[in-house]
Amino acid sequence: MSGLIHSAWLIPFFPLLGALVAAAGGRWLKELSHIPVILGIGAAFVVALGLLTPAGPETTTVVYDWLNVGRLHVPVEVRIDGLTTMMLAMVTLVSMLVAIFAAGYMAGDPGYARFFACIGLFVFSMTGLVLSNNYVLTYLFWEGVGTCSYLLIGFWHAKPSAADAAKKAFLVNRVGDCGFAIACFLIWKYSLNHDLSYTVALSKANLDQMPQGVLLAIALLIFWGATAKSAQVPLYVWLPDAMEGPTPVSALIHAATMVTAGVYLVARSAPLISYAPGVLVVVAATGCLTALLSASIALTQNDLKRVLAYSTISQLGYMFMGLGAGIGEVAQVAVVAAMFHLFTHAFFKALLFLGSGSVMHATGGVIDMRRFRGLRHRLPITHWTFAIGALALSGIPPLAGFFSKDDILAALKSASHAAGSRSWEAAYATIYWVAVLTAFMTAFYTGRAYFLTFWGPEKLPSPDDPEAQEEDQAHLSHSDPGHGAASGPGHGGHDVHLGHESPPIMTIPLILLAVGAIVVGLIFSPMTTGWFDHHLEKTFGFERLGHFTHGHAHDWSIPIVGTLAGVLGLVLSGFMYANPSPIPARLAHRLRPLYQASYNKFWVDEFYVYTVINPLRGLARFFYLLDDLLVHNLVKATAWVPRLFGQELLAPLQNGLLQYYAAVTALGVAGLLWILLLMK
Amino acid sequence: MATLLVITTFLPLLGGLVLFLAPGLDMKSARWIALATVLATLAFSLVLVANFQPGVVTPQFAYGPAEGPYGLRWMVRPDIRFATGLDGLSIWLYVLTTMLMVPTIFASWESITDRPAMHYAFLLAEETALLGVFASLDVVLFYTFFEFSLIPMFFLIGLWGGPERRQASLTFFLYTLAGSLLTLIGAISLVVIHYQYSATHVLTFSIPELTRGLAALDWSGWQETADGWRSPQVLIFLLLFAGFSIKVPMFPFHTWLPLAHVEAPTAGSILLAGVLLKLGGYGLLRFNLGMTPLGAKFVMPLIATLAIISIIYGALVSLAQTDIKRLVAFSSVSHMGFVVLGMFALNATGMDGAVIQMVNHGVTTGALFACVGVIYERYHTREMAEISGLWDRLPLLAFFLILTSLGSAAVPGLNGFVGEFPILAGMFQTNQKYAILGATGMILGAYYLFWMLQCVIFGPLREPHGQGHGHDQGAEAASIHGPVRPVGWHEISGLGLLMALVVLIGVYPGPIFERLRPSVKIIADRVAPAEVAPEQTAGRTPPRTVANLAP
Repeated sequence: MSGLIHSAWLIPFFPLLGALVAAAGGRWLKELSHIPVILGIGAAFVVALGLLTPAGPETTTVVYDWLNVGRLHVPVEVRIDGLTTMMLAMVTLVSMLVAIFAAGYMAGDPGYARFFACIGLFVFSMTGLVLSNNYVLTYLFWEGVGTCSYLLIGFWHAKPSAADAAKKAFLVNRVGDCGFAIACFLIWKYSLNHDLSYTVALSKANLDQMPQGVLLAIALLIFWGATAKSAQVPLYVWLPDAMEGPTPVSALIHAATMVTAGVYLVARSAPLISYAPGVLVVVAATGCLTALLSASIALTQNDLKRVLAYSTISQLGYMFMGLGAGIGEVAQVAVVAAMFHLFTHAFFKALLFLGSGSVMHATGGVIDMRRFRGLRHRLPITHWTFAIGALALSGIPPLAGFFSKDDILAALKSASHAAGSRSWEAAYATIYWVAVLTAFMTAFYTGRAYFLTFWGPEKLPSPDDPEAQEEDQAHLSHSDPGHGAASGPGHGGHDVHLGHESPPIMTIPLILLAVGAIVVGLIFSPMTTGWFDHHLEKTFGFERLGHFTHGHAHDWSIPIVGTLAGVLGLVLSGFMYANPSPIPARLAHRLRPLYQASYNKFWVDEFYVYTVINPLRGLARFFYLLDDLLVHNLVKATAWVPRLFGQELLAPLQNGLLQYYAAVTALGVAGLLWILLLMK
Repeated sequence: MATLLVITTFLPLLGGLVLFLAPGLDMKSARWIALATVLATLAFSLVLVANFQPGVVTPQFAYGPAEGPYGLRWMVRPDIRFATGLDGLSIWLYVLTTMLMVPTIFASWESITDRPAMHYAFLLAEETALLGVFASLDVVLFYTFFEFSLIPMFFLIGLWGGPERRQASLTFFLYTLAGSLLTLIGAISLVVIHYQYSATHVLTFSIPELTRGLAALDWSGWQETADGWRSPQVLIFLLLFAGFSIKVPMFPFHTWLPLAHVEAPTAGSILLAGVLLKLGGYGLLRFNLGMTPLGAKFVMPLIATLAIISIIYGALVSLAQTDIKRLVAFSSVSHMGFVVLGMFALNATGMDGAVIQMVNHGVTTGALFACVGVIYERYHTREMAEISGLWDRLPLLAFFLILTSLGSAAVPGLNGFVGEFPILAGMFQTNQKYAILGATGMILGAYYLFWMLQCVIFGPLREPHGQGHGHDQGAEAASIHGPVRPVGWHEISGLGLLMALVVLIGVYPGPIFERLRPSVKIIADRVAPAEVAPEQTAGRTPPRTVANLAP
């Protein structure tokens, strides 16, 4: 088994190889370009499974020396502990299923090979991120994931909205990355021997010697980086737009890769962050705010994928609430709960996104829920799998989401007893109840999306829909008709047979993910087998996190409250949306200001445009104006000085009069002689 | 090997001479002769790299014993020598030059039809000038090459440039000349100080000997009597800085750059941004930090502030551009700001990063200018408003431009990161505030580059009238085979070479750092612990005041 540990680098290597083959051989492989990538991810999955058992908190291996500059030393070294192997197995499995789905979904796209090359690269970056054993290497893949998301969100490059979303995703992530980079500098500067590896940086000896203020700054900056990657307030704004990419990409970004990176990093740094308990409260409060905000936006969106996108943000908020609950003796339980939610969420969120992709496949790329309804008879497999995903997301027992959500609620409740100070305990208690409220809202909007899509009278999109016209208007203004077809699946032949179930290559991944969404909670939950927490305990530094010293009785009120919130939300949404009813419209009218605020996403994007983007642009133009003046005047002046010197001073001397020259010569000689005499 | 270095340095000039003596040569033979010369030079320089000993501090490939005096005597009195050699600081900039010449020649391949032989002759002469600067071990030789590099560039801009080429070339020439005269005064005064106060009273122009000798002097008396801005090291530092900072260029001395770039032909821009700017950075490291470490320490806050302003200001002004070439030109101000910031971190981490960043900037900016050249050749415009969606028309260009932008925006795993990260880390160790301010340049740098990509590469295809066929209905099929030439083999090989470097340096920078480290370490050691090592130098020479220097 030790041989396998030294081969851990194979996990990122296989997808990379697949990506390179697809990229280089795409011209010849054409419609077969998915094969090397799927095989690569599959091989990585097999290796990842093999690493589950030998994983241990101290297992690391160095691949090669990457950076060795001055006192900055960054080898490429991998760490194979509980957290890493759990992430690896999940990432490779979900990515593989998404890639298989994509092979059907993307069929016929002119950029087929490019798509799979990017997917391979994406999985390479993500697996590298969780494998790396030092902060700078993590940072490398951290940005690598961002770059891949840029390429994939902007996949349909001719679409202006896609180009815009891609740039936005990259730049917002850069703002977070900048904080992470500064965190790296701080760790480097204050760590023993300037060592950035987790082995040293997160060791007890090292953390004990760091000044308290530095630890606080590092913890805050790491969290700042995580808010961008994992789409939290205030940097979540890129994620909803990221659905401009092909739907499998959304599934990948929202479930397996990218957004989980931030949660992973905070969990990885938990031993460090536990030294700064104040930051934990900030983490929990931010998660709480994010969860509530995005859930309330999701309530009113008409775009199925957008609902799911906001639900991702909300669920990530849940994970951060979990991580933030890791105070005092709750620490270990809380981190495990957050990671468990990440784990289960990956299954049902990938399922829901791929389900929505399957819907788009049937509607010719239309995703506006006002334009289709009642698809349950036409798309039976999509319907049933989507229903499972919706139930899991709503936290209905015994599906996966129930167990992990319950763990987070339990952690929050424990934190509200164990935080130490009265005000913090009150904060955690508030967060707990907001989390319950969010659970209700989650169930409601999930139910709404499900009922609007699959229930009610059957309807397929037609070009006569009023919404379709709106969209076309918006489209015509800056998109060319020749490439409109490339802006969604169902181009070419697909239009002819709208409203059909997807081919098996797409439905089989859906079924597998649905099975996962049903069983992973039951199999791994601390409530049942406890396999998940036992595995995660094999993580470096986690044994030092606070844990309950005496037996901790499970509070049975928590699952009951959580389940009630979920059931209530689903029932209410079924009541309102299962069949066309006037209630939602009436309600929206009654609560008009609230509805508008939610529908317009609380104007956060507009706020950023006016407070950040426009001032920056204005400053840029101002500086340019300044520079233009400098170029044309200062430089001209410089070039003009010698000319002036020549024209005004030297030119008049060259007047061509022989007498004048002779006089000057004589004067000069006289002057020189006089100087010689003086010097004697 | 010493002879090989001399041959490598002067081979391009020889090729240039051949072309110069046959001005009527047709385009085809001229460019093939030029390419052959450049490739031979590249091959020779790679042989030099292969023979470069990693752990050695003293200059390699020099005539004479390892400890000097180096080179062949040129004048007996004063002892000015024809001394060439390479150390860790110069070897990579030397190779950068020989490598960048390949895309430079390819950039002119189709576009230069007017007096091609002359054009390539000047390009090759420029190469020798640049190689000479990096290989010089003598102050006078250095200065000769340093100034000589202006002349071919002057003609390249002035003869093959855009509509305002005359003004641009003159501005470029005078502006940089004015600065370098001050630099010469600074360098000469160092020679004189060394002659007067060193124990041996040797009048030497040898850069390594001068550096060693000046470091052995006891400056403490001078520092005490003439504190602050009037101390000799600070004054000389500023004199040296005048020329080099214009070359870099640093805010507020950058104003010659955009004009020169916009008017220069693509080949000129590649060399100008790719290598010519590096002369400034190289000079700062070799002279300012190497010979006046105390001055550097004193002036560091000012220089670092200027560097940060360059980073942020350059990035913001780039963001306001509508002309792609101008955008890339201003981005150089920002990127070279990082280089200076790294040097004035005054530690090995930052300086290592700065040297690599110079190489990186040469590669990525060279590639960016080459890409702009590809666009300009086809559409005769550089206005971003007139073109968009080139991905559909020139997919290879999209690949090159995206990869280069990612490298330039310092995405880890590509070359830019390998420079920028150590620079900021090094500065962070010295001064956290400066590093954090500099780090905002990471965000802004990505902003203008990705905005440019969004305008030019992404979006629906739009081309200027006359090129391609607009986008009327039905013309779609015809326009694909329209007059817009796909990316040709010469463009692919030139840019492909640079792309390989972008990835290679990013993934495996080890061998570069390994050869660079020893040379940087001496400079860093001299700057950093200068105050804690008085016992090494104390009492070697009597301290004197700056006033005593005057007679």
